[in-house]
Amino acid sequence: MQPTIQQVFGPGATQDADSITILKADLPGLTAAANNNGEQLFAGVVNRARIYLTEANQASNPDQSITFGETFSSFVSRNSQNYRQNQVPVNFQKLDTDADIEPDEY
Amino acid sequence: MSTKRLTPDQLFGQGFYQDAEVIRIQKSSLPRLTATSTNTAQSLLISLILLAAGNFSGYLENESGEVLRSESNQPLEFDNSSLYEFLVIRFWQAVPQKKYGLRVIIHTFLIELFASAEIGYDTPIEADDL
Repeated sequence: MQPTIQQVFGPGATQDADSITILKADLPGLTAAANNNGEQLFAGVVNRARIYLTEANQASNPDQSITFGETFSSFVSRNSQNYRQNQVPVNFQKLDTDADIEPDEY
Repeated sequence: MSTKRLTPDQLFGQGFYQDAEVIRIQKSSLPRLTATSTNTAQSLLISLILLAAGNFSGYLENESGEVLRSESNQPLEFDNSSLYEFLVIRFWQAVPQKKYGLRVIIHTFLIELFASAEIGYDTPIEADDL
């Protein structure tokens, strides 16, 4: 089963042919305002999708091809300022249609 | 060097709409997605990530979307990652693997969030921290 729009983008998410609409209330860690900034919204969408697109769920669903890996946490300096950094790996898996190892090709 | 924020339109594409309750993304702004009324959630999410990643690095294109090339036919790359303060998305690796006996290739992107250094090491960075 393909993960549904609601599983990935939140229970209030809908789509039609032209657009996808996501409820801000479904985005974790986001305080909804009329003008949230782009980074907040993007992190909210990513943190929402991570809830369902886990490696554990993929193990029982061959149609799930996206997984989020474990977050790396660190402190970094960028442009002479200190930041807390989270690196969130997102994996896109698809069938590799290249042929297997063929000795003649080497 | 002073760093910047990305506008919601840069991250979510032209025609992006938000109010206090919802965000709405136009499918026509999502790269390499064939818009239908039943796109899979995974297609939409990947296209969203590709769109956002294009802000940070990629190939220079002309107005009709053709990649510009050097005299030796190498594509001209750009990297704007250091320009943006709170978010960077970068392609990390593509790894072929065998899973359940099938050959697969896994493309991995890293979504990097940068927030106040006051936030503890074990505390996840949340949307509101950005």
